[in-house]
Amino acid sequence: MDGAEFEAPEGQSLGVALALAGRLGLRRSPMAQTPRGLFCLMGSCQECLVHVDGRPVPACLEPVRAGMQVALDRLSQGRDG
Amino acid sequence: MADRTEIPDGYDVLVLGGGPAGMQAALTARRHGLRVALVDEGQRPGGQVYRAPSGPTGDVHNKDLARGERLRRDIAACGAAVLSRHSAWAAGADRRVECLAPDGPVSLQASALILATGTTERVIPMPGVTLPGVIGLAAATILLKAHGVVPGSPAVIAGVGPLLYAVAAAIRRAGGHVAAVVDLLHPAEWAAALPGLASRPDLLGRGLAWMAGLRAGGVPIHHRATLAAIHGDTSVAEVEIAGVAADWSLLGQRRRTIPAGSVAIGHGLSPASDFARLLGVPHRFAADRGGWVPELAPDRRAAEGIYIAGDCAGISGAAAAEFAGMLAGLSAARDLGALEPKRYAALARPVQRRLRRAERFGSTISRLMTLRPGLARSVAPDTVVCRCEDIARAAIDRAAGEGARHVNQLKSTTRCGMGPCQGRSCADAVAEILAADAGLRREQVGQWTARVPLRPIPLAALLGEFDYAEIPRPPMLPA
Repeated sequence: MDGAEFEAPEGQSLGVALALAGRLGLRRSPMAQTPRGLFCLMGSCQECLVHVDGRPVPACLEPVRAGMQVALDRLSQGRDG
Repeated sequence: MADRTEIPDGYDVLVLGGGPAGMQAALTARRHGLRVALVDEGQRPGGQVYRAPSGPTGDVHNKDLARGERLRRDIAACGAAVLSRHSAWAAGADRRVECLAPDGPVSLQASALILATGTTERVIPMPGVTLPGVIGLAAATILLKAHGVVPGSPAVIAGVGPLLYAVAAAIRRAGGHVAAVVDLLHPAEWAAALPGLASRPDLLGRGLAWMAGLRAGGVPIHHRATLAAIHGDTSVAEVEIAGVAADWSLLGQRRRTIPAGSVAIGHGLSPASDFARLLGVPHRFAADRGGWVPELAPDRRAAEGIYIAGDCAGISGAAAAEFAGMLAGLSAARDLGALEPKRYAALARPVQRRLRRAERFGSTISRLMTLRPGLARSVAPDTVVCRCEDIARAAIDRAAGEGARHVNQLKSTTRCGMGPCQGRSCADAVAEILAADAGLRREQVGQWTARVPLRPIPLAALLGEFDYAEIPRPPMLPA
């Protein structure tokens, strides 16, 4: 994750795994740059968007896989990374 | 009946959404020999109420989970193609559906399309609602039931409806601490709903047990109250609780501030109508069914080859959704010539009867959760309403002042609802505020025209497979 190792059970929701590790804020909003994280947990609100292997995905629906590359920092920069 | 699970050369029926309605629709259509694909966003079918646990966690003694496991077993055995992790983002009147799957874009077409897309949770915003650690009430149930994870302690549970008590009780069962339940309803309003709820004594008993358990456990329950604000720097730290009037407008004078590690909040459910709108199905406004609902024949048919079942046709609950799904499956089978009209009538009649009975309970709950005008009217000018685009109430007030009278006009001047969620998160709040500002009834400000893609998709998925001319374009509402 962001270049560092991160361990979580395979198959667990990436968003939930990050929350359990204390990482509640996943991105910043595009205009006001306020912190955002999991909100609807069903793939509707798009607040938990992160980049997995270069693709923007809602972290709540994304299962943890060995070796997946997760980038949170790109989303904190601007509109949609 | 064929036992293959993949039918590469086409389907008779596409079902969008793998919740109670979608699973029953798929099972029923399959039972009558039709080739069926069930398209669902989740890891496994189930939807929200019957959601499958992820991994070995989850509350295995839950009744909803047991029901979900049963239906999942039936679906796996019935010969339907189960397309999980498929996000549908467009649909056309030719019943072609475009999806984004883990391995790329997938295009599907069938003779019948059954929409069973469920609901969206409504949250009328207050300062701090976008802070990490604030989640929906439905999200809290998913966290507890599917992931076996307890929201951060102490949790504050706020909003309206039975989920308040379900979530608070589940948190305590799982060893978490609930700081307060903040309920918009007065106890007398719950009491008045008892006759309608008595049609399902099992569910009523479960609800009363939750409430009694919370009281016995000393959890403060604030009635006729709301969260006036949520505070925190990078995540939730404390909440302000304030009273509300009967129309749910904020009574500001006395506020109580308590520490909170998480907030679960929900102001009712609204039908997830984006696909029906995209397909041009006419809608009517029914506040007591959750908002805009599609116009349907009693057999669930909305247009030629299009059927709608479950909460996306009006909030009625999971039990009713199952019967509506069966009915949609039967109607599709009849219209595709797989079921004789006589046989159809014999099969549909008992399902319709059971649907009506289940709807009595579901619609009583839905009526209790009907949004009242004071809640949105009390949103402060600097509170963010459109989360995606960081648009505060003041921008909506300004647009209304400049003459906006329809939510589509508001969208083009403020960008409200143009973000990645496509307005699913803020539609109700925006429409309520505009209606209040403009002095119009809620239905007069209309609903947003659905635009593809209904889910964010990488541009490559579009450009790789489609010509722009082929992308279905919905009819424009008169502005």
